[in-house]
Amino acid sequence: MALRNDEEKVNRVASSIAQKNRSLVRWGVRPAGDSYWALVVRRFLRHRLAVTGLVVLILMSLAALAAPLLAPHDPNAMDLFAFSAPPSVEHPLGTDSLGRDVLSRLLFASRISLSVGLGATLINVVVGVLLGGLAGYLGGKVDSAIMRFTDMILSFPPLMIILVLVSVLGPSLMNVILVLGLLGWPQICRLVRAEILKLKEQDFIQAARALGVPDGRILLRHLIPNAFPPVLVAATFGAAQAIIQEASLSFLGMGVQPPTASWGNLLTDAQSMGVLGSMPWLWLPPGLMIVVAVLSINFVGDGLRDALDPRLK
Amino acid sequence: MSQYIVRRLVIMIPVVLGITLINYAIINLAPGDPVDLLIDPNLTEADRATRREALGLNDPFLVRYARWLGELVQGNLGYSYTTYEPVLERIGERVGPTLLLMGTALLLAYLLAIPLGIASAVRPYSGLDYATGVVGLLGVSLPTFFTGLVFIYVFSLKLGWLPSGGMTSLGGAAHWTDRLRHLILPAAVLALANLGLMLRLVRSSTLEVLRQDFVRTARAKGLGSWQVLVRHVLRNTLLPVITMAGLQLPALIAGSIITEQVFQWPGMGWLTIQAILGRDYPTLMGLNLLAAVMVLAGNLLADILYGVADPRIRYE
Amino acid sequence: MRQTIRAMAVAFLILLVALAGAPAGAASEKVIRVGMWSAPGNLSAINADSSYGYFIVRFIYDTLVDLQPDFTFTPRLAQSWEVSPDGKTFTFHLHPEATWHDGQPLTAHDVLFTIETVATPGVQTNRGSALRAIEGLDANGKMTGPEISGVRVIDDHTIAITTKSAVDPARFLEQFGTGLYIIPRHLLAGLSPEELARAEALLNPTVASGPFRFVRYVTDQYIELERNDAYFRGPAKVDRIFVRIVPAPSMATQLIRGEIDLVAGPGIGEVPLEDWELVKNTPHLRPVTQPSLGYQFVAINTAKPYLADARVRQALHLAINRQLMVDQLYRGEAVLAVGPFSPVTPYVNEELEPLPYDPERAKALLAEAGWKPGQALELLVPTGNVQRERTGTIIQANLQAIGIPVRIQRLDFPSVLARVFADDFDMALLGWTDTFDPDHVSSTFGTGGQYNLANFSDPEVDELIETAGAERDPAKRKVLYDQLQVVLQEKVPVIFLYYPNMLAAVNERVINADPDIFYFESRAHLWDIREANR
Repeated sequence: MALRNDEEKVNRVASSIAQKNRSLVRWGVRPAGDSYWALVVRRFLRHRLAVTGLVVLILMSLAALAAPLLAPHDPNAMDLFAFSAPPSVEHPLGTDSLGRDVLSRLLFASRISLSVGLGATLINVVVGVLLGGLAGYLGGKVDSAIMRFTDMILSFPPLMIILVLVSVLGPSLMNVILVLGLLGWPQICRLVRAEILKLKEQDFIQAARALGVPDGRILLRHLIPNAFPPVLVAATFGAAQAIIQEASLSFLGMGVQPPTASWGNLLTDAQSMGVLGSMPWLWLPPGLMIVVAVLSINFVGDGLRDALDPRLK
Repeated sequence: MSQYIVRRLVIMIPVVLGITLINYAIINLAPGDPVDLLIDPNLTEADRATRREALGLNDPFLVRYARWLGELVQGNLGYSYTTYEPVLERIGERVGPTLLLMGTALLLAYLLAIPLGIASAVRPYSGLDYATGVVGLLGVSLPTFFTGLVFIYVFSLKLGWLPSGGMTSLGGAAHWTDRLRHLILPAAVLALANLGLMLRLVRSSTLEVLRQDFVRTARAKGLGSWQVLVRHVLRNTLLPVITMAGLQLPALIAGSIITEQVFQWPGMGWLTIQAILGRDYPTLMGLNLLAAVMVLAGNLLADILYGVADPRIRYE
Repeated sequence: MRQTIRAMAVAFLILLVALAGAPAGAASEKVIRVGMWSAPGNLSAINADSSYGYFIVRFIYDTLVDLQPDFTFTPRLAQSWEVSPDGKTFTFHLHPEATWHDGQPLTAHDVLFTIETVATPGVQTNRGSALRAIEGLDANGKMTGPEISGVRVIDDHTIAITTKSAVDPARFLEQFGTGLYIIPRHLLAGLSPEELARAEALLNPTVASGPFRFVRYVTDQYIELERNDAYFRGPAKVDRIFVRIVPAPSMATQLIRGEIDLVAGPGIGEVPLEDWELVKNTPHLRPVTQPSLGYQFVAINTAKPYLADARVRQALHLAINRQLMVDQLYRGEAVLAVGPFSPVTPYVNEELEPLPYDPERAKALLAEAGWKPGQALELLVPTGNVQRERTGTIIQANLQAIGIPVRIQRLDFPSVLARVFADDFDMALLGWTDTFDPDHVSSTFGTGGQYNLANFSDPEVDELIETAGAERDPAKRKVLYDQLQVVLQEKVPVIFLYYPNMLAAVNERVINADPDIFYFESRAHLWDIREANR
C-alpha cells in the first residue's frame, strides 16, 4: 500500500514537471487514464498516409492468412506445359521458371515475408529492450559488459553466422527469423539505453529512488514504458528492414529453402536482363509487394512517431 | 572525460581479443574447409594432404588461433589461402575503391537529404514533403540487387549511357571522367538505398530545431526566414547528421556486399563474400578484425558525442 | 621560392599527365576482350585455385601438346613425339626455338624441372594427376627417392618419359601432354616448397613462354595480356587480350553493348539461359553452342542402408522427369545423359536408350524393394547455379509424386562438399567436368575412388574400369566402356541427369575464336579481328 502511494506521488511529481517542461512530456509519465492513448489514436488517425499504410498492411495480412483459400493453385505445383508462361485465365499472373502459378506463390510468399518481418522484430525488441534497459539503469560494470557484448554482436560477420546457423540447425524459415532477430537487436538496445540514461536523471525517477521504490519496479513500471515510444518507432522500421534483409539473403542463396516462396526469392528468381525486359510478370508482382509492404510499414512508423510525440502537430 | 576515453580504449583490447576468438570459432564452425572445396579431378589425395598440412588445417583449433594471434602481435595478418598474397595487402588494395564508392554514395545521399529534408520540415505535410518521403522510402524498400539490375537494364542496356560494371574501362582509366562514368550507377544505387533514412533524420531534427525558442526569438527579431534557416536551423540540424555520419564509419569501410558484386566493384564487400565462399580464413579474420575495430571506434565516438550533446549523461 | 613554385608546378603537371594516363594500347591495336564470371584466385601454373586461373595460364604458358576438337593431338612445345613399340616410352622433341618471355631458351631441363617440382612431396600443387602414370613415381605421382627413373633428358631438346604400364597413348598425352604447364627453371630452381607457394615468378607470371605475355591483373577487374612477338610458333594475330570479370547477370549486356567480344566458355563464362534469346537476336553477335563435357547428376549415398538396394536407386531414377528438365527448364539447350561420357566424346554409348520417366514402375520397384512408406530423403543442393537449384526443385516434386518426401538443403558449395565427403547425406545434386579420356570413371565409380561420392562399390564395375584403363587399343576400350554404361544404368550409383549445352557468343568482328569445350583459349595465337573492323 505504501508503495502504491509512493508511486502516485511520483506520478504527481512527474506530471507537474511535465507541465513546466515541455520537452519532458515526450518521455514523461503518461497522464492518468486512457486519455493519452486516446490522444495518440486520434493523432495517428489524422496521419492519412499512416492510416492508408495500416489498412494496406491489414489487407495484406488477411490475404496472407487466407492464402490457401485465395490461391487458385498449389503454390508448388508445376504446370508441365507452361514454364515461364505469360498471364492467362488459368494463371492470372503467369507462371514462373518452373511452371508454378505466380499469384499463388505470391500469396503464400506473403505469409513467409510478413512472418520474417514480425518475428525478427519481436526478437529484436525483446532482447534489445531487456539488455538496453538493464545497461542504462544499472550502469557501471553491467552497462559496460552489456555494451561491449553489443559491440561484439555488431562486429560479427553476419553472413558467416548465418552460414553456420543454417548448416548446424538446418535451413528453415525459423532460422532465418532467428538469425535476423538475434543479430538485429543492438540498435534497439543502444536506443533504449540512451533513453534510459536520459530519463534516469530526471526528477521523477530520482524522486522514486529517494522514496525507496525497488529498482526492478522503477525499471519495469517507469523507465521502460517511457522509453517505449521510440522503440515502437524503431521496431516498425526494423520490420521493414527485416523484409529487405530476407530478400538480400535469398539473393545470396541463404534465405528460406525451396520450394517455399518468399517475396525475396521470387524477386531473386528474376535476376536476368531477359526476364527484366520480356517477362514482367516474374518480377513486377513480388517487387511491388515488397515496396508496398515496406512503404506501408514505414508510413505506419512515421504516423506512430508523430502520434506518440506530443510536440508535433 | 579524457579518463573515460582512456579507460574505454583500454577495455577495447580484451574486447577485440574476445571478438577475434569468437570469430575464429565461428569461421571454423562453418562446414567445409578450403581444401574440401577443391573438388578438382586433377587434385590427388596426396596433393590434398599436402595442402591441408601447408595451410596448418590439421592442427587443433586453439593452436591455430594462438598462431594467428602470435602473428598478429608482430603485425602480420597472414597469407590468403587462395591468392597466397599477404592479407594486409589484399585488404589494403580494396580500401581505396571501397572508400570511393561508399564515400560518393553517402555524400550524394547527404547532399540530397539535407536540402530536401529541411524543405520538407519547413512545410510539413506539403506536396514536397510527401514526394520526398515517398521517393526516399522507395529507395529504402527495394533490395539493392534489384535496383542495381534495373539500373543496368535501363541506363546500360537500353539507353547505353553508362557502363554496366567495373571501376574503369579495360586498360585503366584514360581520364577521370571514365572513372566517374563507372562510379555513377553503383553510387546511385547505394545513395538511393540510404537516402530514406537520412531524409527522415534531417526532417525530424529540423522539426525539432524549428520549435526551439531561439528560432522563435530569431524570427521574432524579424530575421528573414532564409537567414533563420541558414544561420540557426541549418547549423543545429547538422549536429545529429554528423553523429549519424560518425556511426556510418564502419559501413564506409566495410563496403556493400551486394552492390559491389552486381557492379563488379573491387571493394571490401566483394572480398568478404569471396573469402566466405572460398573459406579463406586468414582473409576473413583480417576483414573481421578491421570491422571490429571500426565498430568499436565508431561506438566510442558515438558515446562521446552523446556525452557532448547531452551534459546530463554522466560517465562514471 | 620561385624555384619551389616552378618545381611544384612541374610536379603538378606530371601528376595530371599521370592521372590522365595513356590508354593501354593505341587505337590501331587489335584488341580482343573476353568475359569471365569470376576472378582467378591465383595464376600459378602448378597451383591455380580454379578453372578461372588456368584459363589465363593457358594463354601465357605452354604444354607439350594441344588437344584439337577432332580428338587429335597437335604439336605445341613438342614439335613431334614417338611412342616406343612396347607403348611405354614417349620421346618428345621440343621446339628448338622455344624461349621464355625473358629471352632464355626453354629446354628439356625446364620440362624435367617442372615434373620434379610437381612430384616433390610437400609442394602445393593440383597438377599431380598429370604425373600419375610415370614410372618411378608413386600412385599419387610423388617422388619416393631423389630421382625419377621414368624421366630421362636426352639432350637440350629431347626428353623421354616412361610410363608404368602401356596405356592408350591418347590417355597419356591428354593427362601429361596437355595437363602440365612448363614452368621456368631459371627463375624457380632452389626454392623450398614454402617459398614456391608464394614465389613471385609463379603468382605474377610475367616470364612464361606462351603466345601472350602476362601484363597485369587489376584486382577483380581484368587481366591484361599482350602479344609475345618472339613466340616460337609465330606471333599471335592480335596485339592484346583483356579477360574481364563479368558476373552472369551482366554478361549479355556487356556482349550486346560491345564491352566484351566473347565469353570464356564452358563453366567459366557463358550467357545465362534467360538472356539467350536476347543474345541470339542481336545482329552483331554469333551464338555458339555445343554439348558440354560435364554432366549434372544426383549422387546417391549407397552407404545408407535404405539406399543400398539398386532397385530403390533405379526407382528414384525412373521417377525423375529428365526430359522435362531438358525441354522446359533448359528450353532444349541440354542433352539427356545416359552415362558419364559426354555426347561429344567418342566413348558415349550411342546404342543405349536413356532410362525413361516412369513413375508407375518406380512405385512398383520401391514396393518390391520393401521401401518403407514415408521414409524421407534429404537432397543437398549447392547455391550459385540457378538452373541446378531449379533442377533440385523439380526432383523434389517428382519424388514427392511417388510418395517420397524430399527436404532440400540449399547450402554454399564448401558446405555441401564437406557433408558429402563426410558421407553425411542421402542425395546431392552436383556436376562433374571430366577429362576427354574416359578413365575418369576410375575415381568416380571405382571402389574407393577419390571422388566416388556415392560410396559405390561393385565388382563388375571395378573389373570393367580396370580392364578398360589398361587397354591400349581405343576400339577395344570403347567396347568395354559401352558395357560399363549399361551396368551403371542398372546399378544407378548416381542419377545421370543431363549435359547442359555451352551457351556462348562471339562478336562478329572476331574470327577463329569461337568458344568450345576443347580449351579454345589454347589456340589464342590464331584469334583475329576482321580487317574491315580494325
